[in-house]
This record gives sequence, C-alpha cells and structure tokens, in this order.
Amino acid sequence: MKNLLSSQSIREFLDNVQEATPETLPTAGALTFENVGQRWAELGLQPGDLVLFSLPNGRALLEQFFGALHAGLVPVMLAPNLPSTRIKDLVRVLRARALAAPRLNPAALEASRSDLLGTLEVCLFRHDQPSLTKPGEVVLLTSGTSGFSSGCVFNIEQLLLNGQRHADAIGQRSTDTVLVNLPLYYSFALVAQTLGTFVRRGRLVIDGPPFQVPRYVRALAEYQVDVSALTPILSRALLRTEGAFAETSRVLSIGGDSLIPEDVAALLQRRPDRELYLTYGLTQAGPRVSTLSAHREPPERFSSVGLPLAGTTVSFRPAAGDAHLQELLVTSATVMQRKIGLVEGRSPHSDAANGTVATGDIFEQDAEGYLFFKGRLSDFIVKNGEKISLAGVRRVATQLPDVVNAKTKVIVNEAGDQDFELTLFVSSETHDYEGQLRRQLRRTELPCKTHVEHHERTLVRGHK
Amino acid sequence: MREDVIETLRKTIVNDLYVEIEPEKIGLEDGLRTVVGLDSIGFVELRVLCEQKFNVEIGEDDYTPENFTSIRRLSELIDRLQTQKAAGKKAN
Repeated sequence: MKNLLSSQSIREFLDNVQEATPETLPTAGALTFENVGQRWAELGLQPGDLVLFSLPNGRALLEQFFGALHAGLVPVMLAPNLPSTRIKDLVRVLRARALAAPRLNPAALEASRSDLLGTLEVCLFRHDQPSLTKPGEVVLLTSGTSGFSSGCVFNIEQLLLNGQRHADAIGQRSTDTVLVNLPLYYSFALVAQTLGTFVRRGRLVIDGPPFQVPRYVRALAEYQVDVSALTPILSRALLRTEGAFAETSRVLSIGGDSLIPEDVAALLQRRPDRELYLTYGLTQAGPRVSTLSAHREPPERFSSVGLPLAGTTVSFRPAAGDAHLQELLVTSATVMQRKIGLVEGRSPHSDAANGTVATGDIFEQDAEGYLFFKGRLSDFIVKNGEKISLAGVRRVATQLPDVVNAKTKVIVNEAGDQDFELTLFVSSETHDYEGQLRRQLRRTELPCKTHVEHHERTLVRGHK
Repeated sequence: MREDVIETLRKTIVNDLYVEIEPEKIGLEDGLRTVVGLDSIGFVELRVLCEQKFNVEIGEDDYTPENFTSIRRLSELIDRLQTQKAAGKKAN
C-alpha cells in the first residue's frame, strides 16, 4: 500500500477529482498537497503533530488531507459546523496543534496564535505534553460510538486496505466514477468511498449538502457516475420521489444504518438490473465490516448486512446481562491501533485487544455466515444517518450552568426513526438551556425535546 | 440588492443558526456551505427562517443550491420573491 502514497500517485488522483457543487473554495492562492507541508513547518508544526481540518466537502479538503499526511502530520476531519466549545474540547484531549478552516474565530477557540495557510485561516495551540500520534497515522472521530471527544488512530495503510476491501466487495472498477455526497468527515465517505477510489485509481466526483433527490439524480447523469452511496434516510427520500428514476449508475450502496427489507425490495424494483449493496461497519473497525449483495440475494436475506469482507473475521460473546444475546466482535488488520481522547459511554476495556474490536452491536449469524443486526448495547442512537453518543450529550448538558443532572430517553418518532429526549435537572431556571445546547451540540445531536425540571415543576420545550 | 436584507441574513446566520463567525467577516460572496459551514439541516432552517423574516414562500423550485450559494444570491432571491408577491397583491 505504501507505494500508492507517492507524490505522483496522489497528484494523479487529486487531478481527477471533480466538484459537483455550485460553490467551491477559491483555488487562487490556495496551497496544494505538494506545498502545504512546507507551510506547516514554517508555522512550527513537527512530524506527528495532529491537525484538525474543518473544511467543506471538496477537493481542497483532500489536498489538505493528503498534504498533511505527506508532511508527516496527522489529519483529523471535523464537521464544518462544530461549535467552538467542542473544538476546544477536542484540541485539549487530542492535543491538536492546529486547526485549519475557511473562517475562524481565534479568540473563541483560545488559540495561542493565528495565521494563514494559503487561503485558509489557522489557529495554533500549545500543549505541555508531546503529541499522542505519529507520522503516517490518521485519526477518525467516533462521533457516536465513543462520545464526542475521542478519536480512533489508524495507520493510513489500514485505511487504504479497508477502502480496497470495500471496493472489492461492491465490484468497483478502475474505470468507475464514484460520487461522494456524504460528508467526508464520515468514515464511510473518507475510507470506503474516497480511499477506496484512490486505491482503485478511479475518478471521484464530490458533492455536498443539502441533499436533494433531483440534484443527486442529475449529478449521476451529468458526471456519468458508476458508483454512489446513500444513507437509509436519503434512500427513503429517493423512494418517495414520484416518476421514473433516471439513474444510470451501476452500483448503489447503503451504509450508516440498517435498511428495512421493504426498502431494499423497493430500491431493487426501482433500479432493475442494477447492483445494490448493503454495508455494515463502525469507525473502530476501519470502518467497513460486511457487505450484502442484495441484488443477488433472495428476499429473506434483505434484512441481513451480508458476509464479512475478505480478510475480516467475526466472532461473538454473550452480551452483558443477557446470555441469549450475542455481541459481534470483529477481527481485522484494519481495526484501529488505539483510541485517544475521552471515551464516553462504555469502558475502553470493553474493546478487545490485538486487532479485535467489540462492536457494541447485537448480531445473529446464519449457517451460511450471513450477519443479521438485532440491536445495540451501546449508549448511542443513529439519527439522520449519524451515530449520536447519548453519553456525550449528557456530559455536555451537565456542564451547562446550574444543571445538576441530565437523562436521555430514546424514542421512535412518527417516521419510525430513532430520536431522543433530554431531561435537565436544574437548580435554577434562569438560563436559556435550549439556546445553550444549540451552541454546544450540532443540529443532528440536539434532542427532539428538552425537559427542564426544577422543584417539581416541568417545562417542556421542543427543538425545531 | 438591499442592505437591510443583507444585514438581516448575516444576523440570522449568526444568531439563529449559531454560526460562530463574526457577522462582518461573512462576505457577500462567501459560500454558505464552503465558508460559513452550513450543513443539510442548516440549509433547511435557513429556508424556514427566511420565509418567516422576509414574509415570502420559498418553493421547491427556488430551494436550490444555486440560490443558497451566498448571501448575495440569497438576497437576490428574497428580493425577487418579495417583488413578485407585491406585484401579485397589486394585480388583485
């Protein structure tokens, strides 16, 4: 895998990346993958230092990602709308040395100094202790499964291997054009789609939010896309669309959460003679674990997430508290090296060592090896296709002024999707808790309802 | 292009969508996705807030990435919708 990371190889790949969005970051004055390393060195960064990137989906983000990696820095991608309190938290626990973004507020981020990186703004941070990472590593944030302030450390070769395995599993070819319209800070979009295409030497087309079905269908046709991927929620939006589905692409994969069998059948019906893959993964595993080639399977397998990827083995252990339930363990060369930061919800010791990770998910496996997702052990839910750590939400909530305790309650909304309510137990109701939560949590992480309880009185407020 | 619309848009982005950029640092041509960092839900909320604050209806045909590219493009859309609405009232 290492020879893939030559300058020539990276440049060829980046030159083949197209952007499908009407707005892109300006290229005039922007640093490219080749010259960004020198600028980081001028700014005082050393090999192994961790750098946060808060950039929108696009080629500029990939130039920075590969540039940092090539310079021996450790890139971490953040959601572009992450609140400053959360960024400060990450800077502290991950010992990040720098943050790059189109616009920054250095005072709010308590940066030791600010500067420029081509057209990007940079905040620099001082730490008394050495970096937690080393050259050649990449950190993927585990937004949901381990809380807001932890990251999984991988060698880049592991991520390339996982991308290759995913590409193999969905039959991706070197001549394929792949559309990425999920955020690149999702491990699926970065590893399975982007690095998978990098390994295949294919062509990448990058789009960004907001997702709209007509726009997606138009992009497939305009860029002659062969391979695309959606979350279950986005695929449901696709199924709700009336009229002919003018999709020309060969491969559609669905990841992020399980798709109900009725939707699998409907997608196959809407895309006859095309390939449909359902995939299961979690960031800690590198991330992809298994794939179902739904178009080749009978309907009774539509509720399965398929067979483990080549080179990936699975085993089971009794779930805590219930001997009848089996937690899935994944063993692979792509399992994370280690976790850094603040791990919430589950003890870090619950992760098995030596290339094996405990998923926190309950599974069954049939006689032919097909995996069936049955539920979650972990303290997180999947909302809008994103894993949300309820432990992380509770921690953020209890750090608000006069909040003495916080509880979360998982609910199923009218659309049949998971959501949660938050109850704050406060010693004073004088604060705008809803506003404060909105400043600290991303929109997807907000509860559908916030209850504020104080001296037997309960206020109920709903978030939009 | 109306200054009052532009200022309201800047304040809406900062105060209602909790974008942590100083209002004066959001340029007219800055990408709402690329520079301001709005995500899918952020765009949905911005659409609703614009409808409320400017008393217009932004239909599906107008809710396009092109119209929501920047403050300039969005203010042009609002200007057009308000003009259309005023013309419709006069015709009635």
